[in-house]
Amino acid sequence: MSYKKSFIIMVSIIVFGLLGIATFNYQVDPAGLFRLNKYESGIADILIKKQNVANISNYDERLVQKYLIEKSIEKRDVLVLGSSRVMQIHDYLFPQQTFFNHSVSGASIEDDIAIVAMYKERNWIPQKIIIGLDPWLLNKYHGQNRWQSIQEEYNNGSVYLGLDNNNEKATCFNKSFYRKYIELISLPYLKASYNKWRRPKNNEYYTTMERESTVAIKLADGTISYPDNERNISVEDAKKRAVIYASSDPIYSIGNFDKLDEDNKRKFEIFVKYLQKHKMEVVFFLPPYHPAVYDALVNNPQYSVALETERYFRNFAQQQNILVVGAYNPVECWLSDADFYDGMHAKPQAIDKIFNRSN
Amino acid sequence: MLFNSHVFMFLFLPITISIFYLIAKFKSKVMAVSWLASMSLVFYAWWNPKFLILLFASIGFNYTVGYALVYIKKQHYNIIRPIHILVLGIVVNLSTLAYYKYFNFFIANINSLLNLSTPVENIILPIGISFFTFTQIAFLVDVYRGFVKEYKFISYVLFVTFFPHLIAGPILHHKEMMPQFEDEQNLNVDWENIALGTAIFVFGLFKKVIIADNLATFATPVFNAVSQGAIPNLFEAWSGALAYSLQLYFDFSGYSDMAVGLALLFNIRLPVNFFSPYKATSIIEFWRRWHMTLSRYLKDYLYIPLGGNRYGEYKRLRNLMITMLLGGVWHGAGWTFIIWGSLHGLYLVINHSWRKLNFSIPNSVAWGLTFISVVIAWVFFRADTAHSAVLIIKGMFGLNGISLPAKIAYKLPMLENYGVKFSGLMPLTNLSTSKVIISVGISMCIVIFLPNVMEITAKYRPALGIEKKSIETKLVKYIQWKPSYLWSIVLGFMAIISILAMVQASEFLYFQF
Repeated sequence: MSYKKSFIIMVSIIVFGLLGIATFNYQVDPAGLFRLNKYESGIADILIKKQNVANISNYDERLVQKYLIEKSIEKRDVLVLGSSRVMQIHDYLFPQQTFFNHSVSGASIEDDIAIVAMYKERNWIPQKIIIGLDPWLLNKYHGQNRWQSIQEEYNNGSVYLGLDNNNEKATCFNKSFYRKYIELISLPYLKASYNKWRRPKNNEYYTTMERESTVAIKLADGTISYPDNERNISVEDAKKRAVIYASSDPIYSIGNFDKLDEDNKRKFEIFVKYLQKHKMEVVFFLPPYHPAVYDALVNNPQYSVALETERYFRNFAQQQNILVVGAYNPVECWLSDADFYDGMHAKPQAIDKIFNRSN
Repeated sequence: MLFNSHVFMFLFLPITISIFYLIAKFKSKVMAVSWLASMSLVFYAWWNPKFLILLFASIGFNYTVGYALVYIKKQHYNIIRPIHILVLGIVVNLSTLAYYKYFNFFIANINSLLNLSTPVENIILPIGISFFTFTQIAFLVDVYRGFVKEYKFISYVLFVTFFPHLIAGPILHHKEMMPQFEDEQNLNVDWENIALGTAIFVFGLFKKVIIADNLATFATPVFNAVSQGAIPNLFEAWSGALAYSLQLYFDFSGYSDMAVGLALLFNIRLPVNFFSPYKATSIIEFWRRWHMTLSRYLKDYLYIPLGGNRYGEYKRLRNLMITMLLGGVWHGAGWTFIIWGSLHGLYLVINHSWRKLNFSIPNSVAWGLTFISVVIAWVFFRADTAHSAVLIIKGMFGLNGISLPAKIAYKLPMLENYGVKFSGLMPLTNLSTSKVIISVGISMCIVIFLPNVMEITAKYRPALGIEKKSIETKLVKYIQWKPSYLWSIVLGFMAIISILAMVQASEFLYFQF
């Protein structure tokens, strides 16, 4: 074979291979980079109309937040940011104020920054932001990367916050869609496309005015109402779940937590100071763990740093004059086994109790 | 700009090659050289345009000094002698390098020694400064020695800035590059070089993105944990040290392969820089295979001027020690680099002395000793402090204890009496033991049993110093590169996998030097 032919075949394989992959990624588009993801966009449309959505499954919670903020016409006074552990902070706790709970499962600091950046893009400044503070926020090895589906918004947020001055050029590229198109030939995006392509079709969701059902309901205020079997779990079963959770190695997102990560701390502090500088009242919420899980955290030296995060958050709040609500220790929040669905999710009544006592 | 970035591969390289051959079509050598030099400056400026001024100043200064050397040599002045000009040139080059690279290190040590608090400066190390400074010092010495025949400014600019070698070598000799830039034959489209260059580039890219970056995920957590005060056990210390030793090899040799491949796309042959260093059975041999152009440089411009082996055995060993110590300093401002260089100096002294004894040991033992010595030295090279390095080395010798998987605790309870713990093989980092073993194991097999990229392509003389007789791995006859469907398909897929994995271009380790 001639050298020319060999070169042409090699380059053709590369070019057509990458084109094929790019086409597949573009068609599946798991993060909705190139077109609206109809499923998530539809959920957002219903929530905007202040209606509940039932029977949702396999959806990208971050994309729902993105579409919701992009399409909303109503400014909001109070926002909740954080993980599924703050998904029970309801609007009725803030009467006379417009409210939305933007919490997403496994939230990391990047999610919080991205959501605030979306509001900034709309030039909306809420009055109050409640930030749910999970210990893994400061764990370098928390393993949460779901925020990447709103990476562009996070990059914008980094610019607003001045987080990454050295990377201004790269950020410009990101903003100029460079990064978006690179995703078409990236392995993580290919994996995400493949997973989305393979997974079963989403359930058909529907609008409802009910707040409780046999299926999960995303309520109009952004909170979640679990299916009946989850919601009505017995105290014993919830405790069993908590014990299993506590004995998992490592406990969700706090494995290998050997020190408070300086980079995440820096991001967090800059983020909070940015909110305060822009006249937003910040409230820290420390979501409690199930008593069985908290005992495990206290007794296992592996998690001493995870508990140290609470001290750090409280000290920082004191410095910044920020109200702190809740505690990882359920006893400090007057909670017992009966107040939890599982090891890490408190029931809405428990959350209400914490907020009411803090007033 | 990084070779393993999308902007380089999909924008910079296609534009540079297309216009180069378009210009070459008109046989305009000056234009072609000017184009390559301009694009090389764009390549450099991509990182930080401000440092173009430094690069320009360095090139202008050294070219002028070189020119002055030639002129003064011809005129036979009595007051100013060529040696004065040469010394001036070297002092200015080294002073610039010292400022950017060693100033803060110097201040920090003076502060610590004299209990002062002189503030350190916020100095950004210009990328590739060690490489372009050393390349130009060699040029001045070569001019002084009368080896330099070519003085065209634009060719000189290209010699220094040619983008395949600009920021991490290989370190070039003026005399081996200038004839190539001047050769009009090199303006022709040569499909052999283009196919060969692309193949070597893909091999290098794969080594960097797929192998080295993967190994980094096992090496970095161990070194980070230790730098934060953790104590590594036997398995964790070895896995971190081995993973880093292999990461560094695949990273730097991958970069060198990419440089060789890129240069071939322009019909230029760079000197070979790596030749299976981990197959070496002695430290002397290791340095003939690892970063070969730096070894050559240190030999020609440091070891030999110091006296080399001309003044007896003691002075030879002294010169070796000094050369390696300064080789360590060249790599960075830090005691860990100084210790690394000294260790290699010591290894070489021992190796040369051992040879005098005429006492032979089996090849496998020699290989094992060499490899372990090199890995131990790399621990200093990678660790952030000498203390961290010592902790890891103690771990490698079992002095920090042994931890085994908890699953086997009930089978071997008696081991607990001997201090063995059952907290898992990697309790510090929680890395997957099977992944570490598989990744490090496969990488070791590649470096020990497979031919290197230069051997695979040796038939086509891909680099200066590589010929058919360079092949030493028997297996190469089964996997020698040639233009074929099979090779095109295999390399095509290797390129696709590598490009997909380039989510975030990670820097080459040698950029920091």
